[in-house]
Amino acid sequence: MNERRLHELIDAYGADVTRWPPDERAAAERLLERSDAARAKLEEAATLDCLLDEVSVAPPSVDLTERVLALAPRGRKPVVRRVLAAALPLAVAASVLVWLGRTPTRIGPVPLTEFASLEELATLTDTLLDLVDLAGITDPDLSCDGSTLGCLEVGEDHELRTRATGAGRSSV
Amino acid sequence: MARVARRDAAACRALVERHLGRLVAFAQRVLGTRADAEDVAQEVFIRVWTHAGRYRPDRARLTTWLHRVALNLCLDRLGHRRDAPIDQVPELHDPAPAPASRLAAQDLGRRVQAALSRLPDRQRIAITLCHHQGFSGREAAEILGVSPQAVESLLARGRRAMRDQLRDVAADFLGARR
Repeated sequence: MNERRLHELIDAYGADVTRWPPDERAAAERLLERSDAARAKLEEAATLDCLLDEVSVAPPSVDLTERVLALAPRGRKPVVRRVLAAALPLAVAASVLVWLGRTPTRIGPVPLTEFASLEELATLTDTLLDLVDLAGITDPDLSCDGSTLGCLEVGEDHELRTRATGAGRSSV
Repeated sequence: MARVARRDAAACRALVERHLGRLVAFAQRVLGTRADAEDVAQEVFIRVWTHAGRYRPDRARLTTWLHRVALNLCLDRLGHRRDAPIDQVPELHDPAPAPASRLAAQDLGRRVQAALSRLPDRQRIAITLCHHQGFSGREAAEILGVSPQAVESLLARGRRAMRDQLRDVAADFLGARR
């Protein structure tokens, strides 16, 4: 701290030492006690401080206070938004937990007892053959001379076909 | 401010009752008119209601933050005044000098306010922040967005100009007190 800096402080902050920068205050006050020029400057600054204090401002009216408060957001945030904001993360978390905790369905071998309960397999062809009376159907004459080529006679062929159908339709 | 952000009515009222008067006083000393000062204070609180959730106490004291918002609004108005035709600029009260015997306290205050209003904007703002609002030089620097050294310079030049403008008033004032 020197005389010049002390004068700068008085010029800037006035006579009230509590307005001076805290880190310079003590040194400035010590120097002030020894400086007549600084004390004269301080007195002049004190006059200006008093004049500045004369600029008074009326306190705000009740009307202004209420006008400002009327612009404030009222009440708490809308209930629906608050509930949704709180419930959404919980719902997502619950869904994830359920998904993680579920027991997966495994596909394993079918027990043999299941097959044992099944009836004879029937195909579409079996069903169609059941609907038709084959007894009245005559096979077309293929002009096969059975005596020479070994073809079956018509009656013989029908007999064989009937036997085959009766023995096991699953083979058709 | 956290409670204000949660729309707590009691917190809003406490905030207004604590800061409205200081903000009106700051704006009135900077702008020179009561009506403009009240408009600015109201706009400050509209911003508070809207942005309370963004306030970070670790970055700035609440009162510093509020004054910075108020200052920006004041500077906007001062800028518009300079752009406005001269007949639309609000007339500031500037009474003629009077003998010391007739210097009522109210009259003295108006004359000092008139002298303050004639200062360059930043000098007036610096004096208002440090002398009237009680901010330190460092806090005023933060509000103004300049260095503490720049604030000291603004204060010194502003006070010197005030002393020159009020030389007669000061003599009368001192004479009346003796």
